[in-house]
Amino acid sequence: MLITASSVWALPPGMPAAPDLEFRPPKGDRFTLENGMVVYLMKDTTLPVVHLSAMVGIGNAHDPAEKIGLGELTAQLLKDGGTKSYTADEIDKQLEYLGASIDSSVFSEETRLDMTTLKKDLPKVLDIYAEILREPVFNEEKLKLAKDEELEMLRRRNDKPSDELFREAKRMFYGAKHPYGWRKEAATVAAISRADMQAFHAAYYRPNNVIISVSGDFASDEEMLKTLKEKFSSWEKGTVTRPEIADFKPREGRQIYFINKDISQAFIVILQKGLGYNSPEEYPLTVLSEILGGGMQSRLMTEVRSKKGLAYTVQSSSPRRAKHGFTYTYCGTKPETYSQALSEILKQLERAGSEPVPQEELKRGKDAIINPFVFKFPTPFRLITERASEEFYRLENAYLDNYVSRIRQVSQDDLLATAKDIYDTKNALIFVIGDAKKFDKPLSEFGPVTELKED
Amino acid sequence: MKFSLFLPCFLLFCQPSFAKDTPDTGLPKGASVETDPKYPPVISYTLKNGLKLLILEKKFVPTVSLTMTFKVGNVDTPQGKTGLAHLFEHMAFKGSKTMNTSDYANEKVVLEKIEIAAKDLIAEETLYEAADPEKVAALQKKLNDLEKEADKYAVTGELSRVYGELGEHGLNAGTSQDYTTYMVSLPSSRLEAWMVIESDRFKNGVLREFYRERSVVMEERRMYESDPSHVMSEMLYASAFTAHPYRNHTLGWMDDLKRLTRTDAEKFFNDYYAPNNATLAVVGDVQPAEVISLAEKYFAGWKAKEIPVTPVTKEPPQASEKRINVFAKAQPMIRLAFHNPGLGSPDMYPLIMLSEILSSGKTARFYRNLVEGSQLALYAQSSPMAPGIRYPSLFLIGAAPKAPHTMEELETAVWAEIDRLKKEPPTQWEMERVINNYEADMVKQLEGSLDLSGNFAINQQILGDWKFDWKTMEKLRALKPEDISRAARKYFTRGNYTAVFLRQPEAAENAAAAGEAK
Repeated sequence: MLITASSVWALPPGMPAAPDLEFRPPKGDRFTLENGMVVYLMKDTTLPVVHLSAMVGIGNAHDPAEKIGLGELTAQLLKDGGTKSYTADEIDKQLEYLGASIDSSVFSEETRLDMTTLKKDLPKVLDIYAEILREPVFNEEKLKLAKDEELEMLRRRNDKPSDELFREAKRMFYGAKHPYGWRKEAATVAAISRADMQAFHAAYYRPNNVIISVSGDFASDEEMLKTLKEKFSSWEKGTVTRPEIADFKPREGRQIYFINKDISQAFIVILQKGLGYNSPEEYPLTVLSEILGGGMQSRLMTEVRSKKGLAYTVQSSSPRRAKHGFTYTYCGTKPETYSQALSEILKQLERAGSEPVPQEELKRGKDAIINPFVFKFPTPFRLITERASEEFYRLENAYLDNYVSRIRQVSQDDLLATAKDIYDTKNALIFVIGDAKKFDKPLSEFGPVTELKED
Repeated sequence: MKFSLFLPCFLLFCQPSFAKDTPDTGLPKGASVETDPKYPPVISYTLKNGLKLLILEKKFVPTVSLTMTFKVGNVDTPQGKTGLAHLFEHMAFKGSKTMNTSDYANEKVVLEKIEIAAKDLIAEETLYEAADPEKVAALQKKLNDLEKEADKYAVTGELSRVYGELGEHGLNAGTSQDYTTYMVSLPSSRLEAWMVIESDRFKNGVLREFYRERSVVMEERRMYESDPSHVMSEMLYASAFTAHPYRNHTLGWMDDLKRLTRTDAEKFFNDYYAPNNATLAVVGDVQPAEVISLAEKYFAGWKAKEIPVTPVTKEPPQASEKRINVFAKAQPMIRLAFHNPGLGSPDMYPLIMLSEILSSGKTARFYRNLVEGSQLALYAQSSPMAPGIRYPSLFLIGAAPKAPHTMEELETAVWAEIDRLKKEPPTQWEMERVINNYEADMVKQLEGSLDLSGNFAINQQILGDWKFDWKTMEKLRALKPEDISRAARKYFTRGNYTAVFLRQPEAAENAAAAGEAK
């Protein structure tokens, strides 16, 4: 891949010509162990540090409906519940004494286990890491502690309005029973047992469902591969069948949901449909998002923030999911003039679907994606994990390598067609949390309103 | 500054390859290269006007990260004008005489009219209850009309748009109590473009669209006001400090914001934005000699100024316990604070160590004893310095009880941990753990570029030494266990203590009904 940043022609007079940028990100090396585990390696000796990350093919969208939270608790207890030969306390003591870290995070279709260590401690830390991934024991006491913490966090889930807004809006958009919309409840957390976690681990934590990326200060690919084989070759492969994520179709018509709350700002989010992976609409939608609500120069920032002073935060984006992503447009604004901000946002969404984006703005929008593309790879570790993600999410062949040219090919007509499809305000879901007695206009002027009680 | 957990910095919007093979030839006279292998090979250079440059070459991707830090923050704002440092930071994105404008000569005339209209409006509004609503409405309309007239000349968002086209990543700025900092990463071929834009905005900045941006900042404030944990922090600082300006919110009190004018912001800009009050740190795929020659070309013409010395009231000894209830519809949380002696005192280092021993990680005492042992807490964290580093500030503890336990039980348990440290020094193992983590963090810190440039610029400009974090590590290494207990005994006293409790609004009503509260 050659990233060529295009020259800037719209610079004000007096600005030096910025030369084109050429960068060919290295591919890294890919290996497959006999048990199916895929390994990406990139040696990097600039600092005495080693980073390792495992992507496991299971996410929180795959939880059983009556045990929502199982995937996250399992990931947390990999380390916090101890392993076959290390208690949880021993793990914490060893890692924290060495200044090393092992952390898990769970996304919609992925669980990630990251490790960072100084080179000198690699054998010890990797030994702990491999056990955490392969042989966790989910100690009962630690499980109870984790569940109690989870329950306490559920009690606190409405303390921060912006968190509440996104969670509840997605719940209304996808429905409370769809994995992209559901939320953990006290009952679903309480229902999770140690046996559930053991079964979950046995079903999904299999080498043929894992991609590992390593970058840092090691002697050679061969040596690192040998080390990894010692730790992982005896891990038995298995048949992994992930639960199907149900199909979803957004409801038709404008719907407004409202929670009345005595707070200084009104928090507003508009949800519309989005994309799965490998959709041809990804490229026009990326450019549209940039133009509409990407950075400080976007239409929403210019119109709602800079020209009208109505908001500090206003943005729009379209996170993808394996199936049926979504598009959100978000704003925090004072309740006394909230209707002006909401009207302006709706106007900008409609404008994108009714008027072609002027050529100059299209070029700027593309430049703002193409020119900083190099920042996707700030370090060898980030680069190698991007390569691994490409495979993990089964992105189309040479996704990263072709990304820039695909963005460059987007036309005015592509943008208009995609905007008509996505930014369809007639079928938008609008979710508002705020103090109704301060509103300058009733919400019902924007469509049929359903008031919800916070719970 | 490594320990920044509770250092509020309000932003404008919500593997390194050290080029050891590069010869140092070509560097101008006056440039010096750090050669002590304990530190990264940073090149330092100071322009004649006082602008300090720090440059670290890093290869892998052809990018460069730049941070420019000014030693001016909320503590430097005059009485009645809190929030000015932060509002100015927003205004620094509004362009110059040639940027964000199509015709500055004509625009300037309208901007003058806007300023007169705005001052008239503020004068009327400042009558508060006595203000005439019709007059306010008429003056507001006049201001709005003039702002629309100015729109004819403004090219809104041009500066950010140019950065967008250049390929910016992480373009932002932040204001804290102590400093204001401007940062961005760019493809390294854009280095000269950065020099053009930044030297222009700091030499020729024009504060257009001021009153609209002031409204944006008011929205930023409302956003934080909607978050109970933030409301608690604001109350904590306002209560713990009696006289020192750390009591003021960096975003400013709403009433001050309503009275800030463009004239105020211009005076602030003229007073503090000078090359001799700034450090520029550059980290990335650059040639140091080229960075220096471009900085000379674009920044040498920026005139040095005498920086006003802000009169800052020294905080008097507290000598009283302060207990405050904040009422909000949220679950209980506590914030506990003790005045610290600041980085000017050697006592600060045992307090830094103490904070790590209490709360960094699962082997730290708060987690082991409060979260896991007694299970009183959902979390318990500490920070040795908040909300600033230029002056003595607060050692801060933030915690939340786990139901059915109460804030009072948790407070008592926190005190038990503190009292134990007063009597028994920490173990050697605990102190070694802190040092080892610090050392590992210092190595990992070198992997980033934008954060690293920020760290260099802030430590140099505010604490006088870009090597500050490395030197702190040496000071921590030299500590003896008894030093920690001594510091705990000296600073963790009831007379030096402020405690803030977050309670449901019903608690206020119930207490009032029972005659317990006013």
